[in-house]
Amino acid sequence: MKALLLGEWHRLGRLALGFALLHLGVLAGMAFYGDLFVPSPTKVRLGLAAYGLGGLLLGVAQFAVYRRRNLWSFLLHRPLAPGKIFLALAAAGGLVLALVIALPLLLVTLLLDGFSAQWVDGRQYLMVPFLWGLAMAFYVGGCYLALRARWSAALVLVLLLPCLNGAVPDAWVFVPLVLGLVWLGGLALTAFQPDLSASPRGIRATVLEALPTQCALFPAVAFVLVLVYSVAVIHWEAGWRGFAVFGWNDYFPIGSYERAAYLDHRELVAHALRLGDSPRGPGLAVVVAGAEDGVEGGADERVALWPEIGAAPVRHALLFQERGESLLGPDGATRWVFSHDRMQFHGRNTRTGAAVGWLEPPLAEVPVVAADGSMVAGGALYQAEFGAGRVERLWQAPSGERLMGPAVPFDGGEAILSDGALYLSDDSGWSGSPTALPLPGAVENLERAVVVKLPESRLITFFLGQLSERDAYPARLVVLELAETGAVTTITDRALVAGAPAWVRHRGFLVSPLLQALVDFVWRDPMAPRWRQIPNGVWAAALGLALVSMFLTAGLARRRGPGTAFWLWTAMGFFCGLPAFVSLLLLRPRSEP
Amino acid sequence: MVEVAVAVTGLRRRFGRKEALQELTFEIPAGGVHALVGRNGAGKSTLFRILLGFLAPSAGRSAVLGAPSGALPPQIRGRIGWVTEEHALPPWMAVGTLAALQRAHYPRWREATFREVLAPFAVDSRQAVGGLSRGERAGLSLALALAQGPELLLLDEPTLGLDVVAKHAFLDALLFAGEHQECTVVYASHQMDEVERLADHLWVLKEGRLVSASSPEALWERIGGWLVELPHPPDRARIPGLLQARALEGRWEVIVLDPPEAFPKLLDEVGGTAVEPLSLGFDRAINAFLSVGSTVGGAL
Repeated sequence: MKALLLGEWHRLGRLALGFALLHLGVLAGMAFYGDLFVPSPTKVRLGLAAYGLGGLLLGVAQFAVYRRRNLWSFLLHRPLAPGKIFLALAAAGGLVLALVIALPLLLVTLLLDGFSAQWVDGRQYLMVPFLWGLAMAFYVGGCYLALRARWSAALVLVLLLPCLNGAVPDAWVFVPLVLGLVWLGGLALTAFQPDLSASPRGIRATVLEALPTQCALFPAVAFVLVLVYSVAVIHWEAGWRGFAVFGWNDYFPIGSYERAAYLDHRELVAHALRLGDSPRGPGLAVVVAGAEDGVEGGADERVALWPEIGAAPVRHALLFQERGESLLGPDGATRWVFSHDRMQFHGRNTRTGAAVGWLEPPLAEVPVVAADGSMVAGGALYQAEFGAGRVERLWQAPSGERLMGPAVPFDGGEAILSDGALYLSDDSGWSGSPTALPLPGAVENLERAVVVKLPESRLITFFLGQLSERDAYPARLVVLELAETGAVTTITDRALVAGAPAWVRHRGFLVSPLLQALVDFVWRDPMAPRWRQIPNGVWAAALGLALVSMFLTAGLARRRGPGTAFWLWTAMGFFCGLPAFVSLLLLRPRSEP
Repeated sequence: MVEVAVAVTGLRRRFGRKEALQELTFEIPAGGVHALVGRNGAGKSTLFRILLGFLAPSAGRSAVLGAPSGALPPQIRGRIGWVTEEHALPPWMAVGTLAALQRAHYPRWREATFREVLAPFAVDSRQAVGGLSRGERAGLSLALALAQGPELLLLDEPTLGLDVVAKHAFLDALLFAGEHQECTVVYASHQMDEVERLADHLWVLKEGRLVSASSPEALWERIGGWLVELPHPPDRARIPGLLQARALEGRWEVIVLDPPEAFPKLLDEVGGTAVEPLSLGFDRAINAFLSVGSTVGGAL
């Protein structure tokens, strides 16, 4: 093994050194000319894509060269088990990635930590093994792609999605990363066989390959149902309107969630007012709908707020969830960057790079920052006082409530949303007691709250339905009128029905209850309904589709080859549904002997 | 030491509609040099790939040194040398590094054999494999295979594309190794001069079928040739065992498999005159056997 590893190192080492220097140069440039550790979301996405792609290309290139027939036989025909040969080659690839990716990252982090005024958190050191691991996982995926040499093999890379989108923001991300790495490594190992023209066989190899492929195919098959619905049902009944969702709005009945979902703020308020039982509703709807746009302080001044649930900051989150927790001082001379280790903002001169100091006191939670220097952290609203070197607390929400986003200016005061209520301050700011309007439902279900100023009152519209598509929560429209006296009147309180039929809303469940449950578990999807909430008709249709899929898959598996794999594929046909059938078509083509 | 080096039973391999191997059944005994001959596309390379487990058969089974081809354990692979037509070796490696890699994996590595076999090719150990000529790579490939001390050496048309000097150097090295090692050699080729020089046994493949298995001399002796004037082009209906016919300045050269003793008389009976026996070289005789059914200058 050692000899093979050294042989590979001879092959790749010099190139790796070149790329390592290039990477080091890019990182040094980013550290010198910008703030390496406060990247924009775009830079983060580009960086992750670059590291992943680098690993993938290395894996493909390294193994594709050997795939040439006789070079393959030179490599495999030796008194060494194929698994050991693969491990030797993969170890060389891991070394190359360590040199090209991990070493420059570590060097730059150490240099910034030791020889610059920049404060470096522990999570920034954690990025080094994370990015190396990510590149390594893609590298192993690349090895598998080169060995299988089929485009459909790329579907297994779906295993790495949980590591990329920030679903697991902190150090726990190493769990899905290691799982993905081990899974892809197992796949590559099963594909690393003397006869490259044959698909890996056996129960272990089949499960390793088929399950992620089916998970990747699952949303595509479910999307086909949406296409069928939009083309064959909506367009058949309502005529062709293109694929734009907005084109469908008036297809759905008044009082349905879909009818309201894509209206702009003013249209939504007018729509909600007309739906209510109050005799004042239609008249107010005319005022709102007819109001002139863009007049500050005019009759139509309005503001919309929505809870930033998915983007809530997490302490010690790795940088791929970076929300730009930094502030620029009023003179532009100081950049304040939030440290997760000390829970304080650390200031550095933007021109000289010299340390300016810390904003006191430390915060209890990671803040969400607004451009004007205000920020919310937990249940408190803060304002940075740069001159005094402090962060002053402006207001504290009632005990147990969390603020869901920064304060938004409205009608001389501000509006802010918590997980329990919408708060409106007047022109005296937050020192007085703001008006609280309790949320009419769970904050996770709140799509948006729209506040409109009328000459003698304010209208507050709550549109709930964020999680209603799969019946997890009900959709609802509530309009409250807040008089100048502080009295609150309910104008509208209307439950919205689902416009799309149950088989479309529960399409994932229909395609495969098992894969839907797996996806809900991995993504911790709040939209996941309890199983008893799923209509009986959908259960029956899912069972029927599972049986059809089972028979189709069994028929195809019998033609592709006998043995235990037949029963395995048949079982997958039932439990994983149509994605199992499609995956069998892709993974076991008829051309194989 | 096993008694049977290669055993093949009912082996078939199909590529799309083409049957590359058809119901192949034979056993190659251990020891000696076995030449596997056949025209291009006869199935020689396919057979080698199946024997080494690099290709699955469509049906049938095969075993090498007693182990099934589809699951050759590493220790059996260590006893099999393998030289390919392209002499494909990692082009990025230096010759010395490559030798060191192989040396580390083969416990029976014979450094002296490696040096002696490689010596006529004048290869420097610091040279990159990618910079070697085809002949030098062939020599290196053979030296690496022989230095492993294999019990079975499989060579798939190893002299293809080599110039005369390189070819002779290669064959000399192979003969040298054959004299000094107890090794079964299976040598695929359609170069009859090499086969004549090296082979103890001759296995002839035609369109994926084994059509002859004997010593080279035995097959050679079964083939006879005559020059004859005929009033019409020769055909198999009138001349049994006809392998090949060629028109030469108004006469026909006919090559026949298993001709009876009274073959000249048979030619007389079909109108032949001026019958004259031909002395056929090994090369000419076996090539006629391989190209059975061909004719130049008229229909068979």
